[in-house]
Amino acid sequence: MQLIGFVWNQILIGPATNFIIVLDRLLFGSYGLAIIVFTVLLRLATLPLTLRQMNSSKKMSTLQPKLQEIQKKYSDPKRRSEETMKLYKSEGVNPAGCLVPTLIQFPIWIALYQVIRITLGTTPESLIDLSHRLYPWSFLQQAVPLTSHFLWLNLGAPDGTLVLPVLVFVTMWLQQKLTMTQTAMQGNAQTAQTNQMMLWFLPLLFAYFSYSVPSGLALYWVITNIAGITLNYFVFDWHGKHPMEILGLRNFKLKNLNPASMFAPPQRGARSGGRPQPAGANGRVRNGATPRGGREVIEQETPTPVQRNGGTARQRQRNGTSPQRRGQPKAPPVVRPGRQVNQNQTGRLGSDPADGGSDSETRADDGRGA
Amino acid sequence: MKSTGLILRRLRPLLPVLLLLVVLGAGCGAIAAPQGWAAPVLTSGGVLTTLHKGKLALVDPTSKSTKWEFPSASDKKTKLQGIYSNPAVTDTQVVFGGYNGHVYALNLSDGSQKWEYNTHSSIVGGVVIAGNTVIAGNSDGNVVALDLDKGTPKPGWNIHTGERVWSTPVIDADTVYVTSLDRKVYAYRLADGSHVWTDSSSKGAIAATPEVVNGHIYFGAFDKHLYALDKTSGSQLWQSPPAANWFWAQAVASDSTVYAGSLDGTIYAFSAQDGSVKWSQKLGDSVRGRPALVGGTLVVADRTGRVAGFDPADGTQKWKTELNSTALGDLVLTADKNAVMLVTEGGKDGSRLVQIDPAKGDVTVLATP
Repeated sequence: MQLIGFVWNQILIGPATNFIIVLDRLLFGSYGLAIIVFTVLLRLATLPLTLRQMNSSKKMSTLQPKLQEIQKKYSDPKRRSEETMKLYKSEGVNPAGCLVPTLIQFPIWIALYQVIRITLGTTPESLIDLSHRLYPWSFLQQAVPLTSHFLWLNLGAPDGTLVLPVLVFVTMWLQQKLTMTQTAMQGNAQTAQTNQMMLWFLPLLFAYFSYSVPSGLALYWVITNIAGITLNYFVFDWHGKHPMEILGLRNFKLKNLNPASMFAPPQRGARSGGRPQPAGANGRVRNGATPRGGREVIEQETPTPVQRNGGTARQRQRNGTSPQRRGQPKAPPVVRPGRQVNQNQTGRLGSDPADGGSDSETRADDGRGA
Repeated sequence: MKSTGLILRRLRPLLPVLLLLVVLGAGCGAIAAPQGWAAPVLTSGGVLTTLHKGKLALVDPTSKSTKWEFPSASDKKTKLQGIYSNPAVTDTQVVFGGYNGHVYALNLSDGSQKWEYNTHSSIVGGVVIAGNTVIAGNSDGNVVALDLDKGTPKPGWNIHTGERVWSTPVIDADTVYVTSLDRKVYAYRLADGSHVWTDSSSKGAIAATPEVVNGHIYFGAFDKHLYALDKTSGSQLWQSPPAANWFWAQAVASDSTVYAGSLDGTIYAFSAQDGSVKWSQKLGDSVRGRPALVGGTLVVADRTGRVAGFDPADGTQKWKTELNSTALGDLVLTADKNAVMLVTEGGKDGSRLVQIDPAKGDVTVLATP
């Protein structure tokens, strides 16, 4: 334990403390700017790791057609899970890969939290602690105490205005959403459920932390999230999606909002803007169960209906399943000008790897229309 | 068993979140919360001390009993968070500041609250009483002057320094001297709080309470130097050679020598004439509390509870003892001025109010929680 403590303090906390104070001095005594620059530099330092994870995610997205095949082919959950894991293994993909950088960043967050508390010297004890950590250069010694005010913030105290907690929530949610768009929603049920929970719980958790920890740390979280979103843009071009689509607001209507569905596991084939489904409706209905809609289904894979009217406008365009009443003729598929229609490895039209599940949607619509 | 398995399966997605909570919790817990280090204060009714974090108590050293404690056990509303502020006392009242930013006036007899005043920022330095005026600094850099009887702000006083005031203001004749983490020393008129002079000699923040003796003001700073100023004009008289770390403790001055402990764990003796080092002795860990000159011995304690007696003339170590717990606050003379008192916390022997014999270093426990 002593060795860990020594390494933690001498290799991580000590240099980080002095480095951030050097930045403070170089940036005109603005500790807020020092945190921002420190964060950007930290992101650059961990860039190889982040890129590796992003590439892993990208690879994961290319597996979607094969995963869907497995989903269709095997009805036994155990076998399906085995086959899925086999596929992951053979392709060298880690399904929980998107969580790894977050986990790796935990020690960095904790270290930064300590560095902020130590450098700002909010308590007398922490200022004494700082005196023992500073390198004996007058350039550093004379920087103390650091100016804790930045914009409207006292960086050594929580942000009482709630602006930073909200920013932490929004940026983290968006970053998570972008990370998950390519893989999470289409992975196996367990992974998808985990990622869906993380999508909401992590931002909520960090927003709560931001409300109770020094705002300097919340500022770090906001900047690091923005850096992640920017990086995602450069690496993935946000998966070629319109920002509103990523946010699920393309066809957003307030009356369709169902908060209970926020924490429900994602539906296979569900897409942003789709009508939320009740929790537990995972598309598989056992004999004798009566799914919503009142029809009895006998031991078969029942893809979850996305929307009674056939999903979002974009889905309908892709699937050629525009809303229709019984007896009305189907409208021909509409391809948006300037938008490429993907043909995936299985040769199906319109099942964009990043979207996934369009087959399911079609079947759901068909099921309802029957 | 089946239902347990189901519950575990459903909880599995939450594991990363729980892991995050545990790791963040562990990391955040590593940072020390405000503890407090108020020094014991002698009163007519006993010794005021802080044996419990965030609680001020009046103890009788003879019977080792606690007469009262503030806030009382039944008071669930008052949360002081810690007491760094050395209390100031009159015959009937005790006044002190809490880390919660409030100044409290209590009846000395029973510890009941007379008034409180919210300064809106944590109080680390002590309060001082001059006539009917209570003066205290806070972490917003403000110095407030309050009416001793009512706790209302004195009109005309509007003192704001550029940084935290973590030292105790010192009153000498008709002037109040204040040091601040903004690296400056200020002098104000006691009557109305009007500004007299400001000194900017120090290149480091100042958390040390100034020592005013023989027309001179002595204080150490975070730039590792000890300074001497002329108390009338505020002009610098000398600057000591640098120590190995910051000065935080209030210095002790005799006619010819100024003694100051540094966070480098060393006690320094400087010439009062020119600031040259007469001698220095390494004690151990940070010396944050004020040393005491008593019975021909300079008694010094470091943060880890190591206490030593030195010959003030040449720094020869007379004795050394371990308190086996963290030493808080300044060393304070006992009523008969033949010994010193110190408050300890944590460690093997826990919180105690101890008395130390300056001749041999013998330790006597005066009170425990």
